[in-house]
Amino acid sequence: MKRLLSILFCSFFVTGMLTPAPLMAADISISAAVDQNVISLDEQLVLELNVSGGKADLPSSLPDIPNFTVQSSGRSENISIINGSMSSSTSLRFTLVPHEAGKFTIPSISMTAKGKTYQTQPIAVEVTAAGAASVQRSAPARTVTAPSSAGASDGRPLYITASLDKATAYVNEKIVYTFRFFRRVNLLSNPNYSPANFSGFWKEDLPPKNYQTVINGQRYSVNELQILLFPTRPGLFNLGSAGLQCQVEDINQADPFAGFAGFFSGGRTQQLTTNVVSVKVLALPETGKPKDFNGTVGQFNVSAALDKRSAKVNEPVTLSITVAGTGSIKTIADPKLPDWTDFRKYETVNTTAMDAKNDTVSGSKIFKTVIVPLTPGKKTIQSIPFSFFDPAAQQYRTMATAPLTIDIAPGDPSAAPISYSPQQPAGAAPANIALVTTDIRYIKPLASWCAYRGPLYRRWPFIIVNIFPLLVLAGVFVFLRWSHKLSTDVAFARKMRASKTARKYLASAQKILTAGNTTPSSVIDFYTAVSRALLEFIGHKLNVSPEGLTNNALADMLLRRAIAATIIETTKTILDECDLVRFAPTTVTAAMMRAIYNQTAAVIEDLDKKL
Amino acid sequence: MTDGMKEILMKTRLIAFLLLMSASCVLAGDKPLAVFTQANDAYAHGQYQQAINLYESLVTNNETNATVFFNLGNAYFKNQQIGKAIVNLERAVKLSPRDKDARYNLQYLRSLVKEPSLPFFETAVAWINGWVSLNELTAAVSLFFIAALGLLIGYLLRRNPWYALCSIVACAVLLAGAVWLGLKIKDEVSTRWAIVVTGTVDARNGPGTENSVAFSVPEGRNLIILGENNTWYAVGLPREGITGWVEKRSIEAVTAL
Repeated sequence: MKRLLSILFCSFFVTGMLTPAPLMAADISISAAVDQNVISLDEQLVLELNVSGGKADLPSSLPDIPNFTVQSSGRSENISIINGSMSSSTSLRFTLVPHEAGKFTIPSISMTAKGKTYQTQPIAVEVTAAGAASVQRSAPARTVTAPSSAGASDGRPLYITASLDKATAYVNEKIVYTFRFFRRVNLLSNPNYSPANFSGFWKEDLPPKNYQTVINGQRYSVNELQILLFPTRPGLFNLGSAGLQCQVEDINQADPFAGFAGFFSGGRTQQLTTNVVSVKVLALPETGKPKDFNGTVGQFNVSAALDKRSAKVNEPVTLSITVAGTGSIKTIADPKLPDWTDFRKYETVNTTAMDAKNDTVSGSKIFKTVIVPLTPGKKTIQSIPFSFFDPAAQQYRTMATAPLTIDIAPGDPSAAPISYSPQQPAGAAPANIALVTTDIRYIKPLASWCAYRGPLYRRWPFIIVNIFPLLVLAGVFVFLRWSHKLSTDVAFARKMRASKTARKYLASAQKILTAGNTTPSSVIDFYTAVSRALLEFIGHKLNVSPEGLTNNALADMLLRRAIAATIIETTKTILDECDLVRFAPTTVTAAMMRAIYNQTAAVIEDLDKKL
Repeated sequence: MTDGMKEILMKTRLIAFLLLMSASCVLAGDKPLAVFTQANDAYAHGQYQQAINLYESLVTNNETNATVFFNLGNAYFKNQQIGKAIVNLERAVKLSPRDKDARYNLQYLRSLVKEPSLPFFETAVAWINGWVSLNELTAAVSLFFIAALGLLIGYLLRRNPWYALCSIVACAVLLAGAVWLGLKIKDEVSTRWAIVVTGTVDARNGPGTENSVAFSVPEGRNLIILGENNTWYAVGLPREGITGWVEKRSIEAVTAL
């Protein structure tokens, strides 16, 4: 059903175009038509090129048509099947905006199809003065243009307007451009908005507004766009007209079936244009212009601050100058800093914060300059002037920062900064860095040589260092075991002490012998020491008390331990000789004493090996 | 063999001996640092092959360290030998694992050869293993070993419970370090990592050109030496789980330090 209606609609549409000029070539039909032959200067007409029955090389743009501005309005293709026979058609639409009133001719347009060139017939149109009713409108047209005016709605279901809040303005002064779209019909798709010509301005978009209003007793939905314009140069600026192309319901109030048909037809395209707006931009006055003025327009305050109250010589300090207010924030130029003798200044960087709402642009621009104190002492940064033009008062104003003081202490001369990146002063946020290319990192130098000698665990010094604690641990275990036995086994302990005890007595005997003292008392002491050395040694070794031990008992005990008879006999002889000298004093020579001493030491050594 | 041939052979041996001696004398006469500086100068002047020769003379004479391997890897890269470059940068990273420049360059070269990334677990293990060098870990484990034994000896002699507690803690750390060291030795010493250094290499299904080609490995890719047969290595690509045989001259072991 929809397809049939579409086919019928296309048929009416094609045949209903005015002044059709079909060119038949075999089964190809080419035509050009306009929707109206007579329009007023503030209207537009639609030229449609149609090719049916074949494929032709349709021009994407039209040749220049004198007295008209031509804009492409789209392309459509239709395929129809009627009684099993398929036909196709392609249409190109162009919107023609007249420049002046008069009678004009749209020249013939060339197209190529199947290797042949076809030309459409010229079409005559008449453009009347603006506002004049087009009484000679022809019949039905698929696409219509809706002239707009900034004023009343004239009962139209949709129209657009454009306006400026002032007709004259100064360079850099704010101008509010307002675009409104009035409608009381539903849109079938998002409209296409063609903005006016804003060249010569920098602009800030305000948030769009949507509201409803009543005009001549009819309720309209209004979409409003506001743009803040700041002219960049003086002169007369014609912003032209903005356009809006939208798809709306095709409802004919007189046709009871139109709504039904419109539902299936997909609606109709409505091309809207605004009135033309223009503004005269005045140059800023020369009279009264301050020397430091650098083009800023609006109402502003200025302040300054340092990032620290005290610093050292050569230590960077950041001076921030903030210009805040309403007006052309973006065009605020750097305040002119004086040439200080006590400070070296580096390049200034700035950050801008803006807020555009309620027909105004407010915000601030902060200028940060790194300054480096050169001399110590209490320093004052005098007021820094800042001038701007106030368009409301139509005069220049000059504001100034408050003086700033800072204490500078003597610093390290070698700490003087070599250079600062103008894009990144101290304390500023790092700038975005674009990586140009990547490569490996460069080779390294060496100040001294230290060679790698292989894995540590394969080196002997390392192995020895790690084995040594193990040996110590083993030694500690042995020592502890020996100590334990010494403390728990008396026989073992005495045996361990035997040699030491014998050595002690022999040492005292040796002392007497070395002194060469042969007095009776010394002789007795010598032999007593020798006797004690031998008895104590044997007593400790055999774990018996040496006291009261007779020579025969001693000999029996040694015999049981399988001690050689000669050693036993020598032992007995020594002990007997000692007893004889001690208890029956006789004449003893030093040679005799030495002999007995040596004999005793030898016997002890022999016994130590056997016991 | 005729007398003439014998004479020629003797002269050849004599010349070879003299050349070898002169090469050794060059290195023995010049301190390693002087050779290293000379190599750096050659590199700075774009004479990469000369720089490679000088760095390699240090390596041949066992006068190496992480910086030599780093610079040698860079020189090979500049000389369009990416496989050799990766081998030497791997060595540099193993000797000096926290050297950011070496790690960066190695990562950069791996990205050029499109080395596939490791699974998460292996990446984590590699990260932990790559935090310290083998010698650093060995020294740390040794230190804890000596400390644990010292504390144990102290406890045995003094019977102070604090010695026992500290000894237990040291032993626990020692155990963990020993396990870590074992894994590191397994990864860096027992596992014979190698890099393809002679362009794309055909890995065959047996040791010999008469065997069919199993797969091709591009230059710079990591593989593991699994075994050898005359002039051929059995290699495996652990990430792909495939094995093959390549000629020994086409790969270079990273662990040959």
